[in-house]
Amino acid sequence: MNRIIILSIIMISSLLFTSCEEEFVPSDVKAKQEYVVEGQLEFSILNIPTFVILSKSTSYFSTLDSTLVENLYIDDAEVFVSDGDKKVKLSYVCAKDLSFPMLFKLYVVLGNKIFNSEFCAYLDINNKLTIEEGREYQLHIEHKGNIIESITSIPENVNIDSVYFKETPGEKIDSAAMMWVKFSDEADVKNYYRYFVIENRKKLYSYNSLFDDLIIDGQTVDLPFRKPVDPRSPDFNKDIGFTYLRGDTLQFKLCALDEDHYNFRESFLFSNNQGPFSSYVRASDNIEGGIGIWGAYACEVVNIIVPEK
Amino acid sequence: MIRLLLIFLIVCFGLGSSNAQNKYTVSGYVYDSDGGETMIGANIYELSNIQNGSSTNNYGFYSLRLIEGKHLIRCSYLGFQNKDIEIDLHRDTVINISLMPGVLLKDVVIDAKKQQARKNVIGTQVGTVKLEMKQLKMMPVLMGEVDVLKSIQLLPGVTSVSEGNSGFYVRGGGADQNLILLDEAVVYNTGHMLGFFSVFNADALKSTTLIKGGMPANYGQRLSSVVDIKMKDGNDKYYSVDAGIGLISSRLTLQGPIVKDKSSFILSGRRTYILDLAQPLLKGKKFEGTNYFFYDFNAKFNYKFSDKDRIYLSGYFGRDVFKLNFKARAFEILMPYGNSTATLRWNHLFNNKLFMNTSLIYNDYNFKLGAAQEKFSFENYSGVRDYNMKIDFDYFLNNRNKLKFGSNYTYHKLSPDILSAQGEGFDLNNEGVPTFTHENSLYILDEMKISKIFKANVGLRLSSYSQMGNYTSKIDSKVYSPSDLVKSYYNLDPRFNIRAITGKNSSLKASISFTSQYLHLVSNSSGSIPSDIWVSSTEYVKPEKGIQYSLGFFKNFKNDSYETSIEAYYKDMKNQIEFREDYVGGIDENLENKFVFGNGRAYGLELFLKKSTGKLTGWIGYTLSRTERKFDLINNNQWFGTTFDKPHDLSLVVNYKLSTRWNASAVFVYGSGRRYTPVSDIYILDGQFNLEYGDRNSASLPAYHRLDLSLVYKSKIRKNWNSSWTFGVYNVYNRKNPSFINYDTDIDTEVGKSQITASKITIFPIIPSISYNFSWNNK
Repeated sequence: MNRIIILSIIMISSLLFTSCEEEFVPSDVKAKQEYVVEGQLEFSILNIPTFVILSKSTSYFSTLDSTLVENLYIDDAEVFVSDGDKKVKLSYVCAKDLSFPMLFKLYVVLGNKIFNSEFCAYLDINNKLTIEEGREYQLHIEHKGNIIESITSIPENVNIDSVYFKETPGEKIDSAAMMWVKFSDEADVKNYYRYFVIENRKKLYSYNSLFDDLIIDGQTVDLPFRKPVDPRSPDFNKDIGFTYLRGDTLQFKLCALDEDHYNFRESFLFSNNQGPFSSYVRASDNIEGGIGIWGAYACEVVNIIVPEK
Repeated sequence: MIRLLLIFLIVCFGLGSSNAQNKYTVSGYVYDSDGGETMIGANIYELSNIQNGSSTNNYGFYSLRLIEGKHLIRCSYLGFQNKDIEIDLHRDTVINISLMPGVLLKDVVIDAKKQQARKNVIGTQVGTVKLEMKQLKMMPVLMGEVDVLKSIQLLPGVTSVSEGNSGFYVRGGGADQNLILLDEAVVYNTGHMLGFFSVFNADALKSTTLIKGGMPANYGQRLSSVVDIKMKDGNDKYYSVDAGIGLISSRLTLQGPIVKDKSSFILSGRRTYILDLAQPLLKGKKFEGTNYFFYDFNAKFNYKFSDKDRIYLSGYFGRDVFKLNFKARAFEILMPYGNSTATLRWNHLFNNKLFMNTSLIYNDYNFKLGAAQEKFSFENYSGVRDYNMKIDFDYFLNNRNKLKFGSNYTYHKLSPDILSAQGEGFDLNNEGVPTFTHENSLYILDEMKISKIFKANVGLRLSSYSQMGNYTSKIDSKVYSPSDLVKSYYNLDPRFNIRAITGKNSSLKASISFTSQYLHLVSNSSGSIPSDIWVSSTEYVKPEKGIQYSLGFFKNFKNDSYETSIEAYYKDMKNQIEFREDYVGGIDENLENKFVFGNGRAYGLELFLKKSTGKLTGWIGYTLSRTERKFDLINNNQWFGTTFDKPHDLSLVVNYKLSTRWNASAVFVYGSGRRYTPVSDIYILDGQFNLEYGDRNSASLPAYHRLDLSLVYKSKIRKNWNSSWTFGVYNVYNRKNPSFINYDTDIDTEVGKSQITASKITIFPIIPSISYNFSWNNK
């Protein structure tokens, strides 16, 4: 009997832990080389300019060096955004030509890539568009005879009551605290949310920070908000997990987004993972003539220091 | 509709009517003399005219019409000694027949096997296979766990999509298009441990029949196939204990008489324990208390009031339980899921021609996922629950016409994702509303001998399905209260099988069957997983409909020692359901909005060679087929192959009796590689490289092949005690069959280059197994 138990453990272990991984070269697939749009509008006190980054996809088999990546970006398109009252042509501007305050505004949404001198985007640099809740925005791009179009809207803004901190769950860690947020969800309307955090002036990736009002419809709730970091990333601090170090300065931004934008963000997150039991997920785009996202946020921003114990 | 039914009846009885003057009926039950089990599909025929015969129904009852006078009739059943009975018939007569297991009279047993094999040629059924439990127990299997559903996958026309998974696909139908019955109760989830093992404990099973084409009219509710599994009734002669100790689980079965020859019981259980044994090792560790196990419990009781009345009460209860404890974060996850079924059956014999089976059936499948961290907790629940009442009649009109008719009513309650969350100062839920529906059916079929050459099985099945409130219309927002009818569907499904004898040992068979299905399992996974949700046909989701055409040539060789068949089929399927390509599997209150609807088609050729006598037995099955789907919103409305589209599929099953003690078996499988959707492009968004996919299932993994071996050693046979060891090796030559593809970004920072790389992951390398089985009885 004992022998059987020992053998059982060996066998189960062989099943659970000896799965092997080998390089696999998929059969050749014709690349689509589609236009890729990454465009965003934001209604918040941060006054972030509307931007569009236009590029092309490349073959899966490509080796990506800096030259190829640079060549994927499109700098000779004409990009227009209409807010219903006026149609504004966005300017193609590179990072090296931007002021530091403008760079930091873009850093809040685009992260480190903004500090690459080669980085360029189409910007509403002078804030000509009227950015307000409930308004629709049409995107129209022309490039070498191709038309790319999309439409998005800014939803009603979020109503944050308070942001506060509690002790870490489980084993107490004196140096860290869990963020809690009290906010109200508008009743009888389907609402979608995403939150962002700048921690000590460093943008966190906003991993796993999407949610909807499935169980909170019309309620005022206090909910714990995990730090939006990928636990697989090298920056992840395993000692404190998804909590914050006391004394850190945070900019917490809770945003509302519309359904198309939410669907894209949710499916985009899953599109890069094909698990053992799951099928593929194709990111849901709202772009006609390409892929990607033309999306808008309405955000409430709270600046806060994680209190000492 | 009534006119159609009348025409049907006239045609049936008109074709099959015969002069019944001076004829009497011999009827009764056929039992296993050793344990008293009723025997399904035993043959009873006149020795002087083997065409004049009958067979027992699903409850072991037969009825045979003979002219007045002396007859010698034979009763035979695979693995049992024939029994010849002389009768002098002057009135209707009841003869209950007990057959002895065929360990002594070898030639007679071989004759019974041949008679069974002959059914392949003389029966009307196309694509029907009865699996022998004894043979299944000899076959090599993953981790030594005997598995009915995995054995089914070795038959032509049946494929699996992922290695080790007990989910299966029959002739191009989806995994949810198989009607899987355990003692007449529908089993909604057939897999333990993410489907690696089936929920059916082989020790508790009496018989398994797979119908993959020409589905008779007494079966419905699914589009593609039927797997009809019957539990043992329990030994009514003596007490016995059967047990087994394996790597994954251990089993124990008790059975015996309550009142000898009148009433018996069987209790059978199975449980895994490997992580229970590991608990001491986890003590004090980060994941202390983490565990996974599954168990099954089968129970059956029967009581024979008289030769005319017998009741059966049977049930199944099984659970998988996964518990994750992360002590440091006070975080825990609990995921229990499983099936429960209960069947109460009453068999009544009105007279020697009319047999009735009435069943009350309850079944339930539920899946729960709970998570908690200190005072915050959340729970997700989904499930399906049925209350079912059915009545079936077998009317042995004469030796040319055997009628079956009956009706079935099922009340379905389908609970979608019902979500609740509790915390300090709040108690929230998503107000998920179950779907309530009524499903009804009426059927009639006639198995008729038209002439010596032609025999047919003609049937009609009428079904209705009604969706009731509470419900808010997705189309016009109309609110329905519980008593309101939201939507009804009606379908009339004709079934037609015909056989023509083409020679001494050969026949040609054809069938057309129309099928309808009202419940659907929509999955975005490559196999079936426990969190997949069953959904109902509603005003928005239309019933699935199918038509299958089959044509087969059947021939036996060498005095019925070898069975061969070639079968071709074409299947057309409407209203097929898939998730949208951007569905991520989350909880959605408007799940129907995530569906896309389309059509399917499947066609193929199946070759089968089986040898069932001699020291060497087994079969070779080969299928050449295509399985495709077409959806408006997938692949630009072009046909694409499904993940289970395997153009080539070969199975070889061999069993060799080395001596009275030793038995060796081998299984070899070869199949086209699983289809998958390849990555075509990479693009930059959010400051990272992302994947864009090509056309649906437009690439294939490398071909799949594997060899398994097993050796069974039986210890010396004693009067009351028997034991055996089973040694097995799964994937003998350690073929690295890929289970899935993983993509990663390979960055070389020194030269400033990066590339997306793919790797294939193999889950099942070579895996040896061992199990010990023993039985005791007080015979």
